[in-house]
Amino acid sequence: MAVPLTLSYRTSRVLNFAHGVYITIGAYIPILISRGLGVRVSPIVAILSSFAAGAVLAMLSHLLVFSPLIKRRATSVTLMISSMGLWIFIKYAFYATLSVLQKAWMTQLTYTNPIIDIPPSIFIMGVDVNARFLLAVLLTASVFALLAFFLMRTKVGMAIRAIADNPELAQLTGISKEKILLATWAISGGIAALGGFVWSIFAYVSPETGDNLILQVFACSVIGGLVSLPTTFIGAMIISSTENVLIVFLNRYFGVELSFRPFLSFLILVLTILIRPPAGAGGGLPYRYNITRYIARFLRRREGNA
Amino acid sequence: MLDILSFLSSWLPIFCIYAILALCLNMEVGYAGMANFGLVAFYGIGAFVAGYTSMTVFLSFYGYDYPIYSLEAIIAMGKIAEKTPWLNVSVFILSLALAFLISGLAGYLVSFPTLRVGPAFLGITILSFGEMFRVFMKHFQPTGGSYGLLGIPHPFAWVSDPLTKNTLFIVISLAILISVFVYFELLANSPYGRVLKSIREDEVASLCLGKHVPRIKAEILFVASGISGVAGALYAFYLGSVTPDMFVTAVTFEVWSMVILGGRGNNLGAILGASIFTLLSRATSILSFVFLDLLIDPNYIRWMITGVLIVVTLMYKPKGILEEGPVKTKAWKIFGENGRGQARVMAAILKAGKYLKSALYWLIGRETK
Repeated sequence: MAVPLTLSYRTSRVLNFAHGVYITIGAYIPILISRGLGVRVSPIVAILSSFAAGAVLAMLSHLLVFSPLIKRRATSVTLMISSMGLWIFIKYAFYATLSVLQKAWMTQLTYTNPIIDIPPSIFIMGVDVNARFLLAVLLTASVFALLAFFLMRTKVGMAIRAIADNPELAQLTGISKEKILLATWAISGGIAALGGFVWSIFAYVSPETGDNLILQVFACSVIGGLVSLPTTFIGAMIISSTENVLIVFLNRYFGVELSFRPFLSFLILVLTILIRPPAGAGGGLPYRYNITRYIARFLRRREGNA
Repeated sequence: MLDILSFLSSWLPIFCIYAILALCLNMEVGYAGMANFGLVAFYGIGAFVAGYTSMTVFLSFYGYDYPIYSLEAIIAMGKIAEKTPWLNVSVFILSLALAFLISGLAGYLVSFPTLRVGPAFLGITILSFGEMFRVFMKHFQPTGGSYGLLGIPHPFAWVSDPLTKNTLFIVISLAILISVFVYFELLANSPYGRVLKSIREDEVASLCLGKHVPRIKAEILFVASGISGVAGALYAFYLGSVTPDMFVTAVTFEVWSMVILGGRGNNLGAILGASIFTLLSRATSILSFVFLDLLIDPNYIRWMITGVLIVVTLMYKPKGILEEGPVKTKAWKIFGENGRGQARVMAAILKAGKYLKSALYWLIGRETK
């Protein structure tokens, strides 16, 4: 989920708060199909529909809001705020739709998961494997493999990277910035939606899901420096492993409660910014009070005194 | 008539609190150009500090040793809150001061990790700081964990008439609002305010001109967070209770929408935006009260309107309703665009003053040159 955020930030310079909504929508589309129509959805339909929904939503938000603002040379803060407005609007429009649908279909929609047509477990080479887990892992792996292939090998992918690195130069070589941006938005929205779908395989979903996740997603991206996709991926690994492993460790040995989870990831975020500030990428000035350097200087001074 | 009065008494305190918050955010965003998405943290810190100090002082003054979040403490507070007027008022003042100091210090500390990075990172970090604060408070036992504090003594609990009590509170919060407004107006039109604007427009340039950009930003964070802490304290005293879940990020976004709609870099605009949005929220709450069984919750519609207003404002009137005016220095007043007439009037007044002075001297029989 963090990778598309970095992707869209890199190419269009919009730090998108509405990202959480794409996640929610992606998680909800299979639910709406399965609960509303009362059918068991096959995984392929679910994947395709949630990808399409996220992509369409992201493209619409780019076309209607961000593109006119970028054309007017809005500052990055303005873009951030506009994405925030968009987020609030879509979220509550979605809430309203849900409450109407709930009345119409007489089903509970705010806290459910999709009915997906997968067996509880399958045997692979004599080993019992949880099919949902397998689906999630396969989906994630294939999405990242496809994304890497797309960005590295295809023409459109290379154009995306070119736009991200140097928009003016890329446009001089005949790349249409508008089309490429649209494609990037579609991809990032779609992948975010898929992330939401993977989430809904394991957990119950409510309209707040995307919002609860968005801060962690931001943390992943910031640890990755908002620059490159592989570092973002590493950031996601760090965050998810701390949230799941470190908290259990702390719980067992220090009696920290399990719901401290989000606190930990923010702590990591702040520590990252303190120790190795990702200056430049966010457009900041590299002010000179680097904490590690301070500590080093302090230690050196103590040695000198002794 | 009574209806209008009761409406005003329910709207004005909330309006004052949000207007103070909007003014603080305007100072940070409109003048210094810092995208603060975690205003709610400082607001919440102020509220909790106020609740904690007031309840601790009261309970220890009357010799109870219950933990302040316990049920016994709440019952005891109900008994003792009305007994000593001077204690109520002094605790109120003390809590406001402490809320200002502690929130300001928190803002100052937050500035250390965030000021080196650009607007995007600053926004995210402060945003996650706000969320961190909420999660932390939910598990922090001394302030009652997720249940929060109940039974914070109203500063005018000793006044028996509820209308007078409310009016007194409104007068106090209006006074604080006006003083904050005047202070920010003076600050914005001082040389310091011009430095802030230069930082907003171009950080590198103002750094090159010898302004200590990080320090100035940290100072502004201190002042603005401190005053939003005061707003939080007012809120705590107004409601009489604080829970961590009152301080979700949505509050920050509401304040942001006020500043955007009213006009960035214009203090009057921030107040205008606050009045518009608090009126909107009053209207929707009245709607949901009148029509109990609506298909769509009016709150959703209010938030949808908020979102649309933000986007539309940014797209079609990016400067907001009240646009940022020129800096009101003395020179601008006299020699500025519209200042020609004013200059003439000023000269006339000065001349009249001179004549008046000589007339006075003649009256008391002193010689003039």
